Amino acid sequence: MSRPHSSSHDDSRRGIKRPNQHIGDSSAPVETSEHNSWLFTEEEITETPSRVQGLPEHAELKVVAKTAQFIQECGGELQVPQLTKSVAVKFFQRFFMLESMLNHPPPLVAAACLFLSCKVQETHKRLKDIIYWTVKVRTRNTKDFPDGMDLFENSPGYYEEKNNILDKEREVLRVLNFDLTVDHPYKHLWALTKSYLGSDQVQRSITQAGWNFLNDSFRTYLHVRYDAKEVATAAFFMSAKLHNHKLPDGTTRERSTGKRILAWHEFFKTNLHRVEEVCKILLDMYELEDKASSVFKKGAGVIESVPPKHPAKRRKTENVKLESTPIDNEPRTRVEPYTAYR
Amino acid sequence: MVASLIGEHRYEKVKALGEGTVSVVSKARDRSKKKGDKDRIVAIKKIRMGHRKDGVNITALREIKLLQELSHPNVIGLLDVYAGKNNVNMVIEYCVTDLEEVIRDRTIFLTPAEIKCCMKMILEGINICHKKWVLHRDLKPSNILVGADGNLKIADFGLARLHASPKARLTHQVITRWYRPPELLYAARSYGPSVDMWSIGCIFAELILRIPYLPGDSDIDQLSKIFQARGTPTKEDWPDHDSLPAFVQFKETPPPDQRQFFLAASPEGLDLMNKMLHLNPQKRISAEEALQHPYFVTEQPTPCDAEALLEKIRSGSTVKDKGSPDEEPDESEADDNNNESQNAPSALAKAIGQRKLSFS
Ligand SMILES: Nc1ncnc2c1ncn2[C@@H]1O[C@H](COP(=O)(O)OP(=O)(O)OP(=O)(O)O)[C@@H](O)[C@H]1O
Ligand SMILES: [Mg+2]
Repeated sequence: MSRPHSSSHDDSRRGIKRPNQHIGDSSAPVETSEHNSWLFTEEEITETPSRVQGLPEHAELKVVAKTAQFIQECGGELQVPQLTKSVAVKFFQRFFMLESMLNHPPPLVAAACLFLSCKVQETHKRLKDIIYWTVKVRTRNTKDFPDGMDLFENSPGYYEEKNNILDKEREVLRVLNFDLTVDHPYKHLWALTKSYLGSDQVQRSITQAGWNFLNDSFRTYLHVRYDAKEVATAAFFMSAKLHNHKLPDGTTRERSTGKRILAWHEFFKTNLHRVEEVCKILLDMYELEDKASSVFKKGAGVIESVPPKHPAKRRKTENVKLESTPIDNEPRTRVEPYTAYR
Repeated sequence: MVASLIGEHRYEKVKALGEGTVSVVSKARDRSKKKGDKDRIVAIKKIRMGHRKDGVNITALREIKLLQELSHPNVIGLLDVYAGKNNVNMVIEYCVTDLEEVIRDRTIFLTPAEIKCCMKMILEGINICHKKWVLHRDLKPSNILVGADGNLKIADFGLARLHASPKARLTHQVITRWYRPPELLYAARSYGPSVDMWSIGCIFAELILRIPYLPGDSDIDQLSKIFQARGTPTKEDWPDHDSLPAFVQFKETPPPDQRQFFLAASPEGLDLMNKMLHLNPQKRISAEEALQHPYFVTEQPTPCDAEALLEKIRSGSTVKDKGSPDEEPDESEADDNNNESQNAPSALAKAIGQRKLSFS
């Protein structure tokens, strides 16, 4: 398909390093499944419009983490598949690579992204239901809307909310340039576990662990920096490691044919260095959240304590334990009330 | 400077081309060409937003997403998308006409080689769709366009969708009746690419007959026309057909000899058509198999090339638009300019510029 814009547009992008194009240490071409224009470099991610406008790094990253959780929760209430939620998070992150959080309230953008991804993934939800659940989840445990308050079509504020979401939906489409194609890591993880592991208990638990890593990965900017295949490969590696399962490193051969078995990172021709970066970012995230949650436990500082409403329900899928990655620690996603998120 | 034109400022509507149920298609000139470039002519499909209730039109989003994932000379190319105040505008490859116009044009006589060329291009287009798990679900001559290069292009993906799981329940209310296969008329809720193959079989017949092959005037009449032409399904041939939700028993008719209806068809052509119009969807030929059929592979004549086909089509009387871009701009189309003030772009956004659509 030919490009939508004339090539002269590229001039404005000159000088910006495109990921994957300058990694010289691998002779194999790096295979990416997504268009590079939605992958950003580390430098670009430290200069997002929000940051340029003065939003501190930790505040921005907190919004990113919370949004993932927010979309996860709303999507859960709306009973949409994981994929629909992940696509919503990706739309959200792409949006804020080009727009500032100071100009667009993140929870509103998140609601619009969820509304849009429900359509795009053919898992339609009525706008009424989107409004009901996004408002409900957003205002749980806050003063401005007592938890449990229902926002129905005749409630005050409903029309405002509706108009805001509809306007934001269009804005999201404009900023995304109507690019609705999103690759997702889940199917790549599936391909990896299917090819490298027998269909047994080990395979199931490694797949489950990898799946959880992927769910968690959406709490970071990973998905606007790395290709879905790179993220899947990292999650696969980490979950195999977690289960002390050794993966082929490229030196083993198939017994019957003598054919070399591809190393785990060669399956998608990923760059090992970049996969390592993904692992590191994920581990850093867990560590950071651990710190945040211990601060929370001590009740220290300005952080308001908000006990989670349904902790068991919310963490249904997060049942992996990793020494250095306290996935099951107490409420880390609630270090700030949603009022701050608004 | 010109290159930075975006959205409705970039395209100058020239004239109306066609109208669908929720869309208007017009011809437009792309203003963002460089000096010395030839005028680039595009088509703009403007889709009304519909009710404020549901936000951006799902049909438009579906069509946009699927076209972004499909890239093939025989599938219409999506060049750009932009939003207006109350509509979504898809900028698509400009096409000179559609197959319905060609079929209706009595002054165009299509030779066997030309019909074969048409069929080959339609099948190649649908083959790539099916390979990417896309069902078109509305194939008919008016949705097959003739590109400026002579390639036939499958267009109008407003009813199309992905069919990942064979168990998924899909609506049977798809495909314009005349091109709708018997399993959908019997209200089957799980179906696959074979529904498109039936439609292509009907188009094949129509290319030879030059009139719609099975023009039913109600769903029940459609079934009766199908069974008149192809015989009623039998238990051996299509075991479960009588357990479909809307099954109706028709008076048993044996399949008639097709040769008497298609005197102009070659033996292999007729064989391929029969395989496309198999009543049992399970036994219907796939696009991939069809392209390997002796009709294309061994039987003479070989398909003509796209340029020759284009020349033939242009020779007709209904193709008034011979492709000259120098027409008066249509004032009535210059509405819906919205000067949405855009948020001040940050340094990064400016640096990155307008990101391209990501087409694989
Ligand atoms: N790219 C194009 N170039 C030239 N003409 C076009 C183009 N796209 C569409 N048309 C004309 O406009 C008509 C309507 O287009 P299209 O089928 O995409 O719209 P639609 O609203 O989905 O129609 P419907 O729902 O009635 O099938 C076509 O039959 C064709 O005649
Ligand atoms: Mg149409």
